[in-house]
Amino acid sequence: MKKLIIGIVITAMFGAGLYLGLVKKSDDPLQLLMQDSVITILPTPRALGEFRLRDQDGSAFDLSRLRGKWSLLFFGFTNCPDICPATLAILNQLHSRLGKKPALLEDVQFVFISVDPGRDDLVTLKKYVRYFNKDFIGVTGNKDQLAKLAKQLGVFYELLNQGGKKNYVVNHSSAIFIINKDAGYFGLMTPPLDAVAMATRIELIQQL
Amino acid sequence: MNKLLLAFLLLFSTQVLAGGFKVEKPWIREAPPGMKILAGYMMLENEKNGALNMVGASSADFESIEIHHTIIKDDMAGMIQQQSVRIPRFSTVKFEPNGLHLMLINPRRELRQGDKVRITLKFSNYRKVKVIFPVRKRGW
Repeated sequence: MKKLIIGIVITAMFGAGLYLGLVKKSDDPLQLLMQDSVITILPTPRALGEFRLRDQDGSAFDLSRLRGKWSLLFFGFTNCPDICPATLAILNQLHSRLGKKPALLEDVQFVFISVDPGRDDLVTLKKYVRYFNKDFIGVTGNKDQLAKLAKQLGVFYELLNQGGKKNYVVNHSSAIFIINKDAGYFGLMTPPLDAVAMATRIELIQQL
Repeated sequence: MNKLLLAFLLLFSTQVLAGGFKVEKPWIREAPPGMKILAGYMMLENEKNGALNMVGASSADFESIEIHHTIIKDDMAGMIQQQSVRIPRFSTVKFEPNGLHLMLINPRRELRQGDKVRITLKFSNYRKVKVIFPVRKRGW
């Protein structure tokens, strides 16, 4: 019994210490985020260079579209049955969580970038992203323009379409890339993704 | 009477019992309209004192079904086709998002939340098992 009480006291003290540690650190959101397991941020944001893609309505999606809002970018393809819809469903949950504080949501845009333009035309892309959320933006472009953006973020993908197989698989990055309001590469979040955890980080980065 | 029948069907749509073997929480993720490839998930519980080997699946609602495994390595997500899935004795294998899944290719009808799809799972050392997969927007 005595041991149990000592155990409880130690646990409580440890918990309080942790709590105080967090509160103390949270004075500086950047400090807190640097040690976070949900989000990885670059020591200093890296300014992105020009690229030219198209959104689902045919409008240009270039560097200027990444200015003025925080952007969450996810690279994938619509014939992806597992990880892409799972990720987009989580991003939709994140969208509704941020929506509880409309000012937070207003400053964030969600962008799905198809690296499979051969199968994903703009019409397909529009139907696809709108299904998950009417505010989501679907983007694609030719191989060179996709590479231009992907390379700057260190995004990998490869189309396994040798031999003319129609149901080919595309290997692609599973991360959510975070671009700041000045079109700078800020950081990324990698699976396992959780909408609640992501929402708190998005709130924190907006305080920076 | 119809309601009773429906309740009965619903009850058995989430669990199939076949002598020490259970399929729990089967579901197909509803896909955006017109999508040609969907994914199915479930839990295979082997309560027998011997391993089971799932070797394939088929359904009248799809042109074909393959077993795939999503693997994320160094942030790169890829899908690797599996010829079979082994369920060791007294253990459970989960088909779940970002992991093992049934890749459902070319649906023969538009599937929306609430629809039910009958899928036959095939085992090398067991008989075929028919499972009803409800179409859902999110997992159980």
